[in-house]
Amino acid sequence: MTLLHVGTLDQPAEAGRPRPDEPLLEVTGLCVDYGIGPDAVHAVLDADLVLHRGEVLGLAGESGSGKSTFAYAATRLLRAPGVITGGSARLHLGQGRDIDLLAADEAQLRRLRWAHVAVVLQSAMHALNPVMSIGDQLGDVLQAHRPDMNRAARRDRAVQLLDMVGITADRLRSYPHELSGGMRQRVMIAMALALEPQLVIMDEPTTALDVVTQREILEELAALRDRLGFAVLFITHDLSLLIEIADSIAIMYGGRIVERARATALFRAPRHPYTLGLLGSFPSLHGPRVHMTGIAGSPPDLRNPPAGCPFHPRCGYVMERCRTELPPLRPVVRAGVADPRVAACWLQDGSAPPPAELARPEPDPGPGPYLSPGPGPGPGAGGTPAGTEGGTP
Amino acid sequence: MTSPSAAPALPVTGTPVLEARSLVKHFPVHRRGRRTQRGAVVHAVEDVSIAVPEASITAVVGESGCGKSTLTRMLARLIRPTSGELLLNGSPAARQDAREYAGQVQMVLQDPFASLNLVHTVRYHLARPLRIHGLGPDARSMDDEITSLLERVALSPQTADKYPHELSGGQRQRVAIARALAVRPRVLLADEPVSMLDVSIRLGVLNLLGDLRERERLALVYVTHDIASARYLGDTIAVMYAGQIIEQGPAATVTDQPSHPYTQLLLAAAPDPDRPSPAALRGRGAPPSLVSPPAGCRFHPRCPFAMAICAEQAPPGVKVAPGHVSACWLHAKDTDPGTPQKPSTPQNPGPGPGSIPPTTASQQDSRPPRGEST
Repeated sequence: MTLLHVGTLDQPAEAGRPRPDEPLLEVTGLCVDYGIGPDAVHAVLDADLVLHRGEVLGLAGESGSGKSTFAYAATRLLRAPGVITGGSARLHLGQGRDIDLLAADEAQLRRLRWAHVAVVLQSAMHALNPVMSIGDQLGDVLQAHRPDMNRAARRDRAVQLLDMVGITADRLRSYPHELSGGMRQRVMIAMALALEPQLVIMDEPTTALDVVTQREILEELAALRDRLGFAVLFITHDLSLLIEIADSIAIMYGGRIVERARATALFRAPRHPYTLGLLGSFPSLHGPRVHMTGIAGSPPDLRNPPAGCPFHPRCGYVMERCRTELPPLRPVVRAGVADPRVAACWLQDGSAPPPAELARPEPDPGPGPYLSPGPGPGPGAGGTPAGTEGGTP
Repeated sequence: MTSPSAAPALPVTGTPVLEARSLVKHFPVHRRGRRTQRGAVVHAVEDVSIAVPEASITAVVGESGCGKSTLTRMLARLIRPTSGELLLNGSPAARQDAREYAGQVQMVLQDPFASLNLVHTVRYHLARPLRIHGLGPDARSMDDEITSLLERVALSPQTADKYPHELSGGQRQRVAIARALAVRPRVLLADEPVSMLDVSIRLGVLNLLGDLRERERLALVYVTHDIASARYLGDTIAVMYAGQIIEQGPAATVTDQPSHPYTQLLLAAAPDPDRPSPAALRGRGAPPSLVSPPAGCRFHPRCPFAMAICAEQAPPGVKVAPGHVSACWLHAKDTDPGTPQKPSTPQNPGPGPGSIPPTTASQQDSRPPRGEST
């Protein structure tokens, strides 16, 4: 593998295209409780999700919606009092090897973690060891998982990894407190990629950063994904960001996945009222300034969840059925129109035409979000006209 | 509230309720060891002037470390400026005692989970400022006052007997706002009031602030890192970078036709699902050290349009359109006011902000409608 500085990459390799026919992680019926017995809080309920090779899957929801719990349970990183009460999470390693992460023993998990599934956490300051230099921390990973590498080889690899995220080799001896927030997060990404995993879980990786740094890191991540071809499960509450960077998005509410779609389809034509409300909660940077309302009410209390659809107390389209019956996540049924979508909403079961704003036509697949550039200029190069460089008058 | 843009685009008429003139704040640096510089200071806020008129919202936008919270704390008189002057209703604030000032200027803090006392009820939080400022002489009028405060922030009167842990984040922030309103201030300083809240309830709190501006003619300073919410709520936007206000003007104008390269960078980096293609970031990197800020314009080391003069002399505030001031040398010789820098229509922002240097933009761009759309 050649390791170039990401800024010098020109055409993205084919490695990073999502391959919809090749599932990497298949989660079915995942249920997670916090606590045991009758007082247990059901944090994730019957969640199904498929992450394909090379895909960026966004998992969006508010705090307490179960998005982090889902990711940590599916990779067996969940700590007590979290208890996985059901479901399976099959990781397809290729060449016919696949493994149910929820049934794997500690020895198997130990081999899988980092090598195949890596995690980037939100708080880089707390995730990095404050009393070890970042070079030593990178070396540590390699020493544990690649026992055949000697000290010099580990150092070379650490330099490569830092270079990959735009950090120079002289930072190897730096300690985390000597780095800026953005650099620490870059180190976290470099560490996650140290063993070339197929799946990287990112839990709010840029939430604590300023917007310019966030954008820089996301561009670097896009370039790395294109080159190395890993899949990303990207967890965030910022749906407007996710629409720009993810191939597909799953929306969680009250522990359940309520809608799943391609990012552009979800943005242009939401099918679940909660998705619609969430999209209406982000003021736009363009156009006339219009009054927006967000979503009335507060997220549900999972200790005492509402009966029926978890969203019904806040839903503007609530029907009698919503108060008593839980809508399953299933294909949208519409009379006379083929709709390839899934949503957990009684409005979409085909018994009556849904409101117009929940029945917008499916947009053309078109070019995806720029984290998965199709043919055309790669990230960062988009549309800058020639001859405008150095615009000094 | 009909629309956040219902207020006039430029409500700078008459005396501003609160005005800051050339505020400066330097924090001394205490460093041990051989490299100690005598008299080294952090230049947290440098020569910031801002006027907050009645019934208007001034949004202060900037990244972490740009000095926006230091500015807010100076406006609240929680910290003393190194130099500069603060005027309340046109008279120097320094002459008023702290309580008198606090009766006019109140603050709402970022984290309602930390700014409310967990062992006290909502009633206690609201009664305390009333008692201190002598606004609830007897128990009955105190109760009435508390009920009316809760109603003004759209909470039920029963909320008064709840503890903070029984409330959601949005409700807590409403209590914090009610507490600030208790003393009937004329200015409300809100420092990142929604950034700790869930996205679906942020707008509710922002709309409440917008309502208060209209109903009670409050002057609001809304401090945020989120330029989209500043555009939504603010009448005026002031963009801060490295301790200075680098651009200031009507909210929609600043975001639709940003004239300072840093504002253009901020807009290019902000999440925006409507963007047809990724915007090019022009001016990557990080803000400078504020202990030894760069000479001249503090943005020049990152600026894609930097000229020789930018490294030598700090740019003056240049009027680029009525009420729209930009501290950038690119506009200093450009005497034509109202020249937009970012050729854009909302649907098709072209290659993104900042990709056309301002001097060429003035020749090729049609002039978009000025001011705000309603």
